Amino acid sequence: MLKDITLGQYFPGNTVIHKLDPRTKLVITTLYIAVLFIAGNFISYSVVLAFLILSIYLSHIKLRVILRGIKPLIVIIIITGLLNLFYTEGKELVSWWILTITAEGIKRAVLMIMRIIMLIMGTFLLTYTTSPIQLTDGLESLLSPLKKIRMPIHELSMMMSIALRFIPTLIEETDKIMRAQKARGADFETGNILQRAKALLPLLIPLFVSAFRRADELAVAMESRCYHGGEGRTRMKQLIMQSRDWLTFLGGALLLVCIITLNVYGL
Amino acid sequence: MANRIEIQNLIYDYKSFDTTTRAIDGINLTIDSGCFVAVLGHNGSGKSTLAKLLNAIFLPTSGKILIDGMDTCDESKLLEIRRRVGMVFQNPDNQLVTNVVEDDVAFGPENIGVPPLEIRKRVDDALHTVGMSDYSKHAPHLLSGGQKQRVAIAGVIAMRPRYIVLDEPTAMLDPRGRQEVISTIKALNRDFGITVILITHHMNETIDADRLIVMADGRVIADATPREVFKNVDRLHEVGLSVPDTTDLIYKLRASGLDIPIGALSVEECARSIYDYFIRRDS
Amino acid sequence: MAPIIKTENLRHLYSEGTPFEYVAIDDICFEAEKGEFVGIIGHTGSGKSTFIQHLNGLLKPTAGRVLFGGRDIYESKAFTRDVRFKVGLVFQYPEYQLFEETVYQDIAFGPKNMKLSEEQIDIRVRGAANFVGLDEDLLGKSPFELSGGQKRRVAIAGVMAMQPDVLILDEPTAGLDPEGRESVLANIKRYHDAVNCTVLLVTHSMEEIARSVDRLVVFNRGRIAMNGTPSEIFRRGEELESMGLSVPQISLVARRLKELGLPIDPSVFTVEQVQSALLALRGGAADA
Repeated sequence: MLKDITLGQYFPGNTVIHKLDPRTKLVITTLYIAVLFIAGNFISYSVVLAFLILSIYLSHIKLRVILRGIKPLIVIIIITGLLNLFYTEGKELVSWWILTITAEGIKRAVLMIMRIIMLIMGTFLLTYTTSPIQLTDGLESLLSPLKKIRMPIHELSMMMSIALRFIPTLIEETDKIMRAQKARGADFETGNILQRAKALLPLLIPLFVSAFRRADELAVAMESRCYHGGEGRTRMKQLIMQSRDWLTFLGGALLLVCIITLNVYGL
Repeated sequence: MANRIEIQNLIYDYKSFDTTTRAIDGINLTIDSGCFVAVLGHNGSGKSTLAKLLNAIFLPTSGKILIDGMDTCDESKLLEIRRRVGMVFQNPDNQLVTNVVEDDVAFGPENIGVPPLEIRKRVDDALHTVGMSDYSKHAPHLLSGGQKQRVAIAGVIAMRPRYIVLDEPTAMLDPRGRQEVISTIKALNRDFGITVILITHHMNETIDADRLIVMADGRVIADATPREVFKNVDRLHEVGLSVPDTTDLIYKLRASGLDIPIGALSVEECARSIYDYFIRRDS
Repeated sequence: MAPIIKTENLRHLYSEGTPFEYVAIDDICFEAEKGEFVGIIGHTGSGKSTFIQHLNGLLKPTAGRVLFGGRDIYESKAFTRDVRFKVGLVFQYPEYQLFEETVYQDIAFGPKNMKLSEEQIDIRVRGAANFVGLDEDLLGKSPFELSGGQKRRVAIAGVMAMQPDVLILDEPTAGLDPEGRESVLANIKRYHDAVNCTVLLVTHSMEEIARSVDRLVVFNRGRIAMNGTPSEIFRRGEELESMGLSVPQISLVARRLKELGLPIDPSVFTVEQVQSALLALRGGAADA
C-alpha cells in the first residue's frame, strides 16, 4: 500500500510535455483546476477529459501509472461519491431506511468523482513530468512579484522542493520501521480505532525522530555547499519561454473559453 | 598567501544547557595543498568535529583555523572558505538536495553564482570524473550507496575546491561501494591534485595516504606516514585502536622471535617480508 | 536431529505481475540446527535480506515453504504469530526504531506484545540488558539520549528479550567504529553461548564473523552459492571476490605466501592461524 503512493515522483522523459517551461505547466495546471470547478455538466467534463487525455498521451506516461496514484485515495473518493449520492435533494428514485437516491444525486456523485479523479490525474501529470527543482524554479519565478511585499518565496519553494525529494526516502523508511516493529510483535492491523491509533506510536515516533535527524544533517550539508538563500544564486537550467509554451497557453485559453461558453449556454 | 590549512591551538567545546564537553583539546596542524591525509580515530575522538570546523560549520571556541590564510571566523570570507573546502558526509541519503543527479551536482555552483553555461560544463565534468555520467538524469533514491556518495563527491568537485574533507564517507557502504568511493577519492588526489582529508575508522583505507593523523580524546596522538604510525602497535592499542591485520601478523611473529622488519602494510609487502625471512633463514 | 528452521525451495518475486517484476530469491533450501551459529554473507542485492524476512513470516514466499520445528509457519494464523516471537529479527540500523520513553520500556515492547506478566517482563528486560552490556542506570534514561553504539545495544536487547529460539541479526555492526563492532559481536557470541539458541548473522564483511560462526552460507544473485565451514569457504577466495565480497586480508596474505612457495594452507582466516602455521614452519626449518 505504501508503495502505491507515487506523489512527488518524477519520471524523466524527453516529450513535449516534459520540455514545456515549468511556469507554463504550473499556469496551465492552475487553469485546468479552475476549469474543472467551472465545468458543470457532462459535455464540459468530456472536453476537459479530452484535454487531459491528450496531455497524458503526449507525455508518454502510461495511463496505468497515473491511475495507480489514485489508489491510496480511493476511500476518500468513494466516501465523497456516496455522500453526494445520498444527500442530494431532488427527484426521488429509490428510498430505503434513511438513504435516498435521487436523479440529481447520481449526477452529482458521478460529476464529483470525475472531478476528484481528474484533479488528481492532472496534478500528478504535472509532478510526473516536471522535476521538483524545475517545479520549484517555476513557482519561484511565477511568485517573484510577491518578494516585493517581503514574502519568502525562495525559501518556500526550496522547502517544497526538499519535501518532494524526501517523500520516497521517508516512505521507504516508514515501511522499514513498520516491519521492524512487526518483528517485535507490533500489531497495526487489528483493534478499534483508538487501539489502532495507539499502535501507530511505535511507527510515528521513530519516523519523526528520523525526519528531524535528516533535516539537521541536510541543513549542514546544504550550508557546507555554500547555500545561503536565494541571493546571488544562479541556475544551471534557465527558464526561457519557447514557442511551444505560447502555443500551450493558447490551447489553455481555448479550453477556458470553451468551458465558459458551454456553461453560459447551459449545454 | 600560502596554499595550506593551518590549525593553531584549536579548542572546541560543545555546550548543552548545563554541561560543556571538550571535543577538540588543543590541536596544531598544517596541511599542505596537494597531499592525501587520513584521520583515524574512534567515535568521540573529535575527528568529525574537526571536519566541521574546517568548513566553518562550527567556529573555534579558541584558537584559529586559516584556510589559505583566510580565518574561518571572518564572515566576509565564509562562502569562499566553503567553496575551497568541500565536504562529504557519512549518510549519502541526507546530503543530496534534489531528485535528479545532475541538478544536485549543480546545487553548489548555483549557490556561488557561477554562470549557467559554466555550471553545465562543470556538472558534466564532475559527473565524468566520478564515473556517474550515465546516471545524470536518475533519481538519487534509486542509486546504490556507493553511487550516491560519488554523486555527493561530484557535487563538491563541481565547486572546484582545493580541499575536500570526507567524514566517514564509507561507513554506511558495502565492500563494493567502499571500493568505488575510495578509488574515486584517490583519483581526485592523484589526477587532479585536490587535497584529500579522509576521516575514517577503517584502517585499510588509510594505508595509501601520504600522512596519517590519529586522534583520541580531542588530541592528535600520532602524525606521520601510515607506515610509521602503524609501527607503534602498542600505542594504538592503548587508545583502543587496532592495526591492519598485516601489521598485526608481523608484530605477533616478531613477538615470537621471528626477526621480520615491521612496517609492511599491503598484502604484498607483508607476504614478501615474511617470505624473505624464511629464505634468509634457509640459506 | 531435526532442524529448528528450514526452508524448502523458497522463491520470492517482487512487484509480481508488473513490468518491474524480479526474482529476489530462488530455490533456497536452507536449514539450521538448534544452537548453531550461522553466518549469512552476500553482497547488497544478493537476496539475503529478503531471505531472512521469510523466516519470521514478514514476507510471504511466492513459492516454497518455511518450516519452524518441522511445521509450516503458515499452518495456522496463531502459529504464524507465534513464530514472529520464536524467530527474532534485528533489522539493519535497529536504533532507528526506538520509540519508548525509557530504555526499559523499549526493551519491554516485544515481551509486552507477547502478553507476559510484569515480573516475567522485568526478568527478561534486565537479562537482555545485561547480555548487551547496558548498565542498570541506563534503563531509566530516554533511548534518544544515548550514544549511537548504546542505542544499537538497546535495539538488539529488545529482540533478545523476546527470548527467540532463532535470533537473526541483519548487519548488526554496520556503521559502528571498530571498538563498537567488536563489543556488539562479543555480546552476541556471549548470548549465543549462554542460551544456546540458533543465531543467524547477516553481514557483508566476513573478517569479523569468521571466527565466531560454525558455518557460512554465501548468497549470490538470489541463490545460495556456497555453504560450509569458514575454512571451506575461504579456500574459494577467488570465487568470493568475483561475487563482490571482500576476502579477509589475512587470507590474501596466506594465499600470496603459498604462491611464493611457502607451504601454508590458504584457507586460514585469522592472524593466529597464520602465526601458528608460520611458527610451525620455522620449527620445521630449524630441525632440518
